[in-house]
Amino acid sequence: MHDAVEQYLDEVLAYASLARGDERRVREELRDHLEELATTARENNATQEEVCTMLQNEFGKPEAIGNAIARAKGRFRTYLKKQKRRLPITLAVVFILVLLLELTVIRVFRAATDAVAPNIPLGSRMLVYKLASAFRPGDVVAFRSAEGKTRLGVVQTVDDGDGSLKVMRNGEPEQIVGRGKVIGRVVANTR
Amino acid sequence: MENRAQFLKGCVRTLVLELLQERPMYGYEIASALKARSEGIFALGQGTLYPLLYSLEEKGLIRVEREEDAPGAGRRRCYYTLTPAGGAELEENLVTWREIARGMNLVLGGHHA
Repeated sequence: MHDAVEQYLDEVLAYASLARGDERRVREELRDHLEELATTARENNATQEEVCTMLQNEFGKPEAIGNAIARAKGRFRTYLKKQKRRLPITLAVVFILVLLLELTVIRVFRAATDAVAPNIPLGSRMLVYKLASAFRPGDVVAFRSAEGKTRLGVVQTVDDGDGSLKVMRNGEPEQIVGRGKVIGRVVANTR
Repeated sequence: MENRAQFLKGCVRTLVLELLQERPMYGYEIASALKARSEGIFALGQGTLYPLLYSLEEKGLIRVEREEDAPGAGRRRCYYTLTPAGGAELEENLVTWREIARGMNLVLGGHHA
C-alpha cells in the first residue's frame, strides 16, 4: 500500500532529483521524520487525506522542500546529474562538431603505405590541416590522386603561376598535383 | 509573510548550530526542540530543516556523528554534531546577533516594546 508518507516522499524526491546514494539517505531520513509526525495523526484515526494535509502543513510544500534540498546538496552534483540526462544530446552535438571540423579544418589520416617514408612511415597517424594555403618544398601534403584516392607526397617545387605542386612518392615518378586536388598539409604525425 | 519567513530562516540557522553544540541530535529532535523552546515561534515548515542541515553539512559546519536505524522499515536517524568550523561560525553568529538585538532595542525600545 502506498500511504500518505510514501506519496509525500516520492513528490519531494522527484523535485530534489538527487544522485542515487544521496537519494536513499535523504529518503530514509525524511521517512523517519514524517512517520514520527504521521503516527500521532494515525492514532487519532485521521484519514489518509487528513494525514496528507497535516504533512503539508507541518513539513512544508513538497516542491519547495525538494528544490531546496537539491540546492543544498551542492550545485556541482546537480550539474553532473543534469549533464547525465543530457548526455545523448551532448554526444550528438560533439559528434556533429567533430564532423564539421573534419570537413573544414583538420582531418585525421593513417599512412597506408611507405610512400613518404621516412617522413611518415607506414601505419603512422597524422593530422592534415585543410586550410593551408602556402606550400614549400619539403612539406608533406595529402592530395586526391587521378583515381580519386587520397595520397601523400613530399613537395618538390611549387609553381608560382597556378600554384600546382610537384610531389614525390617513393618508387613513383614525380607528379604534378593541381591546386584543387590538394587536401592540405600534414601538421603532425605519430611517426 | 514572505518577509517573516526569510527572517525566521536566518535565525534558524544560528539556532540549529546552538542546539547541536549542546548535544548531537537528529532531524525530528531538532524540530521538536526548536518548537518547544521557542514556544511555537519556530514551529512551521519542519521540512525546511533538511535543506538547511544538508547545506551546513556541505559547508563543513556540521557532520553526521552516527546513524542508526529507527524502528520500522527504511527509517534512518542521522545524528548531527558541530564541527570545529561550525563552533567558530556559531560564536560569530552569536556576536552578530547580540549586536543586532542591542541595536534594534536601542532604536525601537520604549516605542514598540
